[in-house]
Order: sequence, then structure tokens, then C-alpha cells
Amino acid sequence: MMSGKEYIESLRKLKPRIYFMGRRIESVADDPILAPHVNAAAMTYELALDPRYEEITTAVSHLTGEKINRFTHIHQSTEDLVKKVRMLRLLGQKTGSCFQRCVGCDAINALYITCYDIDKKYGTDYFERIKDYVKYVQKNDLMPAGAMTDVKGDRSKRPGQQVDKDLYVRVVEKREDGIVVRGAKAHITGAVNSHEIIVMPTRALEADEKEFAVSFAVPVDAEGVTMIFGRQTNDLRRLDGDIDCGNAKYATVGGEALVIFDNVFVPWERVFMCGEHDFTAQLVEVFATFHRQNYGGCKVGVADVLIGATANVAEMQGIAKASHVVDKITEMIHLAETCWCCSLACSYEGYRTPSGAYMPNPLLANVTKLNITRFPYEWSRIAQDITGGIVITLPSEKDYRNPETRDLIEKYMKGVAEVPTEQRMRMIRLVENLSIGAELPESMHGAGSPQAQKIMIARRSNLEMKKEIAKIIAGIKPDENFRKIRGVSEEEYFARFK
Amino acid sequence: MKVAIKYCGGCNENYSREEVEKVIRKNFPDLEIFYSKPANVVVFISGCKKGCAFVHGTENFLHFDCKRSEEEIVEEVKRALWREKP
Ligand SMILES: Cc1cc2nc3c(=O)[nH]c(=O)nc-3n(C[C@H](O)[C@H](O)[C@H](O)COP(=O)(O)OP(=O)(O)OC[C@H]3O[C@@H](n4cnc5c(N)ncnc54)[C@H](O)[C@@H]3O)c2cc1C
Ligand code: SF4
Repeated sequence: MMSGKEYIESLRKLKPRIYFMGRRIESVADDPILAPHVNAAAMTYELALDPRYEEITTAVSHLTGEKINRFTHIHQSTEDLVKKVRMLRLLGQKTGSCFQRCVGCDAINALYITCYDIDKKYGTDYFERIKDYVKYVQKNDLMPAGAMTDVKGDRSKRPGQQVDKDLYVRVVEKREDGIVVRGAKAHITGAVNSHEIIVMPTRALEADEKEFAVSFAVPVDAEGVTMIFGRQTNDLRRLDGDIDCGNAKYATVGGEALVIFDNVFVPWERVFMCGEHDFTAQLVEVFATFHRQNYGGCKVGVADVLIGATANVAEMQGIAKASHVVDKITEMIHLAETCWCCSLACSYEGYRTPSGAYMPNPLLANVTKLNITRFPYEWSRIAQDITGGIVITLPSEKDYRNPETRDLIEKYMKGVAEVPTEQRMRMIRLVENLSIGAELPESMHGAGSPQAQKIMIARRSNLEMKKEIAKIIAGIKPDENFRKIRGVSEEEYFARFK
Repeated sequence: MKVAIKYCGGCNENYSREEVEKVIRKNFPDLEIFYSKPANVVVFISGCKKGCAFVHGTENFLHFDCKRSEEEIVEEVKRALWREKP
């Protein structure tokens, strides 16, 4: 397993083509805008080597028997699924940010499960390919990005109906030695600081859409891959010092990129689906289930940091003992722990798939993520309420460092007398970072927009059964248990009252 | 005497788990302390009552799963070491 430092070193050996703000990024590991995201991902490596955390941050590979980083593991039990979310909460607490590595973990697990099923139906050898790939990832402790979301163009049209067919990643050529793909994936977390990119289709596809039914893995610096790193609110504050960012060391959210595949060649051994459109729905659903399972882990870990920051601000401003503040902070904890319950529940309710790998309960995983599209807005609202207007009007670090204004800021930005002004400023910035910037839309759209979860919840919950039991209780349909309990039918029992 | 310390994953610890290790190191400087290695005494340190650090079938062990005073920790370790004495 690599350490955090070795991971950062490993990135220096790659040469991906990345652009940001009109310039090409020379070194992902060293660029001041990207480095905090790199640090957050490095935490996933570092904690795997720490005896205080290894119980949840490592696993034993079922393929090689070796001890591996849990992010490269194929889950072998519900206990593994639980350990995964425990690890995510821990990492959220340690980084206060997105550490990016779960997407690739979810991709290898979803492919492992789906490739097995494709082979069973078609006699293909995708399962052997994905097993080899997983071994390669485990042996080298790699971080693959998971790229599912296509750019999609006109949302009212299917992939094949788009004016420009490249708006969904597709196979443009099949060769003896592999395939050539073209298109782009949007919002890909950690792509710029990953070693590999795993591509999967974004939606269920029909028989006439086989060209879009493609899944594969390529190194980030494969010929034809270009990444354009996305802007975030306040990203350039990273160049202004270490206070204004709020979380200068680990940034916020994962750092997302538009990943473009311009006639990229993929050898067959790295192709995991090619035309099997009837398995696209399964792959999307299994991946989404894994990814939605996560959010009550990582987001709750980040919420732990926000709750701590809010409680600190309350102390620093002299309101910690006010009953409404105590109540509101308790409400934040309640909301966060509710999401945690969801992640644990879908993990404990997970099950074994025919491949032998385990997956979480899809209904409960979708409930987890749907709550995350709501509750972080509420806990952020409380954090902003308690912090006060200063959360968006605080003077800058530059003015704090300026000898002409420093004393004024020291004097007038003071909270309670015993807390240094700089500490109060740092805490307020942390609240700002976690409750205002990219964090909230990530909760909304990461792992799918709310409607995607609603559709899955509707599909997975048995509404017919609920209608049936309501009819039985209301006395519209016979109740077999009532007859057993009372020895007579409901009609006979209630006849005396009529 | 060899003592192995086995931590849980620490996903949401209710107290500082490291304090237990610090107390043991401070009060028993002559012990050889390892992580997850065969030893005379295994000290499991779980962050909460879920007790994830614990492994069934361990012979001479201590299990900490909540905040304990320094005296309590020292007392428990002494008892475990005494059990090991021939
Ligand atoms: C911070 C962040 C990180 C992410 N990381 C990753 C990643 O690592 N890998 C990855 O693959 N993806 C990633 N995503 C992508 C995420 O899964 C998508 O944002 C999500 O699926 C929504 O897609 P979209 O952003 O294209 O929005 P859209 O699909 O444009 O959705 C916008 C709105 O339009 C609605 N809508 C869309 N299509 C239709 C339709 N046909 N009919 C009716 N309504 C429609 C949606 O319900 C939604 O309300 C990430 C997103 C974010 C914000
Ligand atoms: S014992 Fe508690 S803190 Fe430690 S890993 Fe288990 S649940 Fe998390």
C-alpha cells in the first residue's frame, strides 16, 4: 500500500493533459489550486497505514489474500459494506472535504457484479478482465476515477437523437486489438489526480443504442484524453493565504473535471462492456446504489466538522449557552445522525450477488441520498443562523495581514475576550466554506439528482403491497389473521354492532 | 513482556482512543508495545460501545470502549500483566 506521500509522488510520474483558467497544468501534485484536492485524496492512503484506523481503512483481498486499501476492495460481506461507510465518515472528519476515492471503488464493485452477469448470458470474458483489472488496481494501490455522467446535450432527446452524437460517450471504431471511443464525461470527481479513469454508460439503453453501451478503463494520461478542471466558488482564494479558503489544506468538494475522450484507443483487456445494452440499466443501478450508500458516511463526516465549527463559533461569540443555540446544534446533530442511520441501514441490509460480491440495499441507499439532497441545506441554514451575517461579510486575510488595517480588524472583529481574533476568523471561514460554497450543490446532484432517487424509490418499494394491507386493515378485504385470533370472520364478529 | 495494541477503525469515537495508549506507554515504559502482533497481552481499543476492535478467541486481553481514568487503565493493565506471570 502507498502512503499519502508516495501517492503524491506517483502523480508526479503521470502526464495528464489538464487545463484550468486558460493554462495547462504542469503538475497536479504541486499546482496551488489542485494541491488541496490532492491532499484530501492522499488522506485515503495515509490512514490505511495508521494502526489507529486500519481496521476500517484496509481489507484483505479475496483475489490475492493480500492486505489492501479498502478503496480497492470488492466487498465480501455486509460487514465490509458497513466498514466502507465507517471509513467514509472518518475521512470526512479528517479532511472536512471530499476525498474522491469512493467513485472508483464503486465503479470496480459495480462492474465486478455486472460483468459476471453479462458473461453468464453471453459467454463473454468481461468478468476475467475486471478481475485482472481489480488485481492491478490493488497491487499498485491505484486511484481510478469513476466516470458515468455524460454531458447529455438536449435532455429531452435520447443519445442517438442528439444533433451531435458525441454528447454521449460512444464506440466509434472496433478493431482486432481494441476499440476507439469518443465523447465526454462531466463533473468527474478527482479525475485530475487519479491514476486511471473508469468509464460507464450514464443511462439504460435500447437495442438501437449499442454504440453507447460501453465501459472501459484508461490511464489518465492516455493519448486523446483532455481534462478541463471546473471552477468552484471562491477557488482563487487558495492563492490568497490560508484563512479565507476556510479549508486551505483539503479544499471543498472533490475537484471536478470535464473529461474529453477524443478518439481514445482502449485495448480489449480494459473493455468491460461493449454493446450489451440490456445490462446498462443494471450497471447504472448497481453503481448508483453503491454511490448513494456513501453519502450518509462522507457527508456526515463533513457535517461533524461543520457542527464542531458552529459550536466553536457560538463559544467564540458568547452565545454557546443560549437555549436556542443548544437546541439548534442538537438539531444539526440529529439531522446528521439520521443520514448516518440511513447509510448503516442500507449497508446492514445489503446482500450477496451471484458474482459473490455484496451490494447495499438499493431502496435504502436511495433514501440515504435523497435525504442528503435536503438535510445538508437545513444544517447549513442553522450554521449560518448561529454564525451571523459575518459569515459573508468578514474582512479578508489580506486586510488582516496589512499593517494599516490589522489592528482595526484585531479590535473590531473580536468575539469573547479570551479568543484571539484570528481564531474566530478562521472558524467563521470554515463555516462559510462548509455551508455556502460547492458543498450544497454537490449534496444535491452528486450521485444523481433527487428525481433519480425518487424514480428508484418508487420502483423499489412495493406500493401494491401497501395498498393491499390498507384494504385489509380498512375491512375491504378479508383478514386471515383476524379469523385465527377471534375464531370467526370479521363479518361475524362485527355483526352484533350492526 | 509483549503487549499488542489493536485499535478499532475510529469512525466516530466517543473519547480519545489514543489516550489509552499514551497512558500505557507512560506508566509501563519497560513493555514492548506492538500493533496487531502476537503478544502476551492484547489491548483492544474501541472508540465506542460497538467495540469493533475486539477479536473473539483472544486469550489474555483488555478491551477499552469508553473513557477511563488513568488509574483505571493502569490498574487493568497491571492485572492483565499479573495474569501472564508464571
Ligand atoms: C460535485 C459533483 C461531483 C460529481 N462527481 C461525479 C463523478 O465522479 N462521476 C460521475 O459520473 N458523475 C459525477 N457527478 C455527476 C452527477 O451524477 C450529476 O450531476 C447528476 O447525475 C445530475 O446530472 P447533471 O448534472 O447533468 O444534471 P441534469 O441531468 O441536467 O439535471 C438537471 C435537472 O434536470 C432534470 N432532468 C435531467 N434530464 C431530464 C429528463 N430527461 N427529463 C426530465 N428532467 C430531467 C433533473 O432531474 C434535474 O432536476 C458529480 C456531480 C457533482 C455536482
Ligand atoms: S468501535 Fe465505534 S468508533 Fe471504533 S470503528 Fe467501531 S463504531 Fe467506529
